[in-house]
Amino acid sequence: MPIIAAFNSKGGSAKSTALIALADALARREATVSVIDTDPQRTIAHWREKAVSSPIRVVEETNSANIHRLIREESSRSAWVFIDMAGFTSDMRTPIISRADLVIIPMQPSPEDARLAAAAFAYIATDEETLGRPIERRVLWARTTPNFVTRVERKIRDEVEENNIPAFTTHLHERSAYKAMMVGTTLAELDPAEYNGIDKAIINSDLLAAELIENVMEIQNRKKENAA
Amino acid sequence: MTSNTFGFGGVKKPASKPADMDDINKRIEEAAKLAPQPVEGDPEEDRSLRRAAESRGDTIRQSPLEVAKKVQPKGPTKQLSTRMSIQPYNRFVLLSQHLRCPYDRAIEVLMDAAGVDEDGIPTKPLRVD
Repeated sequence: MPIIAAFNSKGGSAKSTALIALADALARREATVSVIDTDPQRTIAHWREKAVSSPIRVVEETNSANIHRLIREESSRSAWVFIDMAGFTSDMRTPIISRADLVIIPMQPSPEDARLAAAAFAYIATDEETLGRPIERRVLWARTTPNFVTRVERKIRDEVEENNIPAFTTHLHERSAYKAMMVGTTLAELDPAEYNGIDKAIINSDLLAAELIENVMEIQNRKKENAA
Repeated sequence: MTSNTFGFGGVKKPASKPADMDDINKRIEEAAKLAPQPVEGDPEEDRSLRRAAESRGDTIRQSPLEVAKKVQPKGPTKQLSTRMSIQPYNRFVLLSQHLRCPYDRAIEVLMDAAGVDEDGIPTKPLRVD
């Protein structure tokens, strides 16, 4: 392990961008990283076809019958396994969630995203009941503007905090560098003459990766203590 | 707001690194050194769930998803565009998503279900409010 899944029934919630940014932050330090793309939209698979120099290994799987085998294979190949889940709930959901150390729910601070992220939490709660154990999950605030909070965003964030919904403190900010990365390259390969804020995006993704690592290590230690 | 009296305000500023960026780097580098840790077979809870379901002749999952493939039209095609009220629009789009087929195929499915023949005549009574 660690196995990290990203899930939100809303398409365009920045699931794929978040996973590529995190995987890229680790791969830049020569970590072995696999991403399993189970989303029929193929966003990460498509990114990988163009980002030819990235060491991130991307495999596609849309058949739930193969998912356990694939996770097993990738976890023996890479230290970090990320899974991009479909932007709708499918028969892949429970098997993937049963394997994940952490489920990330990327969410833009908009009412529509909030409603669907709440639905994603409800699905995970159902899986907790099915599996009979807690599932670690965190909201990841995505596409937020640094140092600026709208009233709607404040309202949504207040509701999340009041309900003790776990969330990353680091946000995945809105950056043109992320958009450029999604065309099919890594952040480090982007041309600073062409795109603004590449250095800021790299710092942002590093901070997010560091928080993810801390969270995952805590979760794994907790699991070990419970097993002992 | 920063002043721009001398034009310095427009100068592109380097990204300010948080004070503990070295620590952040160290943490990611440590994590990058992790060796792969293969997971074992299906988790026990999964297996026991499956066993329980199978003993009742039941399944706990749907059949594997099939990804909708772009269907090549057979023969000539014509454009059909329409404006719709939000409610039927949402119903139709959600139906297409559930059926996992494109809009033109979803229309065909609906027409077949309604018993509409090749001449556009319903072969069973249809109510139009």
